[in-house]
Amino acid sequence: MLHNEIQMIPKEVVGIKGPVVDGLLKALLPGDTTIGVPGAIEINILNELNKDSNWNHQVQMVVTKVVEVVLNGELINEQRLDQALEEYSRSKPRKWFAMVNPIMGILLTSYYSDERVRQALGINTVAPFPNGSKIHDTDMEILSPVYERGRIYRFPLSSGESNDR
Amino acid sequence: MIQHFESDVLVVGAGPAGACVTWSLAKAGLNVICIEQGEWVDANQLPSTKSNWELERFGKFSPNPNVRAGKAFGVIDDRNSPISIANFNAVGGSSILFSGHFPRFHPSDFCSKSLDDVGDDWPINYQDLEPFFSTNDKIMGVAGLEGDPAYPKIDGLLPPVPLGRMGEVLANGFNNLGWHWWPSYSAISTIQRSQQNKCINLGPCNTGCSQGAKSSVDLTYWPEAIRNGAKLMTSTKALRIETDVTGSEATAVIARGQDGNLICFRAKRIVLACNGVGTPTLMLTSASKSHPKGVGNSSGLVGKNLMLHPTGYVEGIFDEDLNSSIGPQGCCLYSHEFYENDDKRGFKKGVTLQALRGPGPIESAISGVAMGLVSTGKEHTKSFLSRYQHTAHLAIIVEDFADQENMVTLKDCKLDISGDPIPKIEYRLSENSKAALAFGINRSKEVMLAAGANLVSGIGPVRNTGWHLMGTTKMGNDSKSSVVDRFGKCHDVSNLYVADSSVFVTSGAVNPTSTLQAVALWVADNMLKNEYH
Repeated sequence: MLHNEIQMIPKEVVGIKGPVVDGLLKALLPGDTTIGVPGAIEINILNELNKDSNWNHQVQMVVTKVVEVVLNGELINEQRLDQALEEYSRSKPRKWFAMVNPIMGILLTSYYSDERVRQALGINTVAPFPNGSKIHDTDMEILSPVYERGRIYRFPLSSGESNDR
Repeated sequence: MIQHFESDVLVVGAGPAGACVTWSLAKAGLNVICIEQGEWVDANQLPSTKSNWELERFGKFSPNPNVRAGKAFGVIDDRNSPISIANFNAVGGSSILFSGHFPRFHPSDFCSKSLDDVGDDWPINYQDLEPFFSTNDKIMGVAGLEGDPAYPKIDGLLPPVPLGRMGEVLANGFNNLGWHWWPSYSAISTIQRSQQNKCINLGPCNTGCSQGAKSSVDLTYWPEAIRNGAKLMTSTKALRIETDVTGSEATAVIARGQDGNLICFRAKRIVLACNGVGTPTLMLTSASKSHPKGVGNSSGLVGKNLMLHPTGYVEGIFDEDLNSSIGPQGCCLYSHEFYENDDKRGFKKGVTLQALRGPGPIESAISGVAMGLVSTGKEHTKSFLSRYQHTAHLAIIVEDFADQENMVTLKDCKLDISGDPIPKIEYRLSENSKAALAFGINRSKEVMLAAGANLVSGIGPVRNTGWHLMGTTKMGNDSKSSVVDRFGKCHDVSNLYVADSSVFVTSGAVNPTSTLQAVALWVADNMLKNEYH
């Protein structure tokens, strides 16, 4: 299928609320049920992303490319779409990464900003201030070998100090 | 109608250098006005007061002047440089966003030519600056540990910033190799002080400190300077320096105030402290009949010799959870094992290795995916968790040398939305810097492996690291080969001074704020001695 023909695919299919985007989200950030981390599709990541007009443009570009390269322009059902994306990402990881790279930054930013994802991963969901964090003290005996080695800096020659180390 | 102000001294720029000069001169009883293009920063609005603090650094608290919005901020055309310029326009200047890593230059940095046959010798030395280093340390509140074999005696330090588990692991790596390391000199208050709260390890120091523990000069110098009578005018951008008809004396600075109207600041003495890009830009913008190449530019060196400290990063991933995102981001430990010159290495002078804490979750995920260290798909969560909090980082800071081809220039420049010239950066890495960077990256990888990392990667030069802006109005005794004399006074204009890192002759291989503040205090002190007594 030619690029300009893909542009003709109905928006409800390749648009930002279409099945291809859903398939991409599932393929890229599916979450992990074993540790209870929701996937990008479950946290409604698109609601956040849709606020950014730049995202709309970027996603259209990626989706168009995915339809063109991964799906050969074929509009397939959800199950086959998921399989096709998984197979492509596994068999051609470099090409897959290059294809989805333009949206990874904004996708990961939104995903790891989500409170449910952070809670599931044990990441702080509140501002660093005013609570801060505790860090244990270190026994400074750890510096003994450095200290015992002696001076390692040099003086200017005019200072009269020796530069013997 | 143009507003007029008069003072003994006008200081341009309220960052680390301008704050020191204003504090020193106001304390001596002079009538000092300081103008600053930015505003006071409200600690309650800083990113670390918000749960989405990682995102805020990409907006109005970005260190990149081209990213920040608002007409008060100029933009810098750094497309012809592999390193982009970083700064912050506010009361406190770049100290609002700096990491607070606060080492001094070494004594040998002031005499590179004599000692190592590279660069040039400064007309002043470490001993000249030592009293000002000490004064500055007391006012800024520097945490660290006495007895460092890499420096002459430095005392009066606050307790060091804790190493944390990541620091301990790296320290063991250095020890296993028999290499120098030491807890960082940190402009961070680790105890409660009269003007600063105790550090509580918020983490993202480089987005500003809501706790008021990091020693930005809006907290350390400005309150006392203002108590001593200094007048600080914010949202006031210097546009040009005026001179008398002979060009031998500066008479005024014309600025644009908050309301957009012009203001004329007449002063007996004018001190520029706008950093290594802002200061030469103002001097070049002020070209006139008596100064056709720019004020104070008979040498042709204003804007030239820009030094930037090319920087590399090395990351190690460890099986152990190092809790590495916790703690002051840029202050942990550093190494000067390879700081002093050793010709056997194949390049001149040396490097600093500076430990950095790990990134927050968003940055960890984005950089991990970009570097291929975190996968997408079913394994994403597991691979993310194996990286987040499990990384240690070393930054490699390389000594840069003056090269007249590296410069800030207004040639063929564009104008910003206010009609002000946009300075252009022309900069390339020297072969020496490239070799030093590769050397530092390789040594840092060795540290990671010696510390037990199971995966190590490194990159350099890193683009968004142009914080250290030096050399563009070089200090020297000869008016043909320098712009200002050993007291920061312009060779060509008898009452015009430069007191920031623009005057640096060499760059050392350390963060420059401690040294530039010592230089600023030296300039102010000598102005008082030479002009007022």
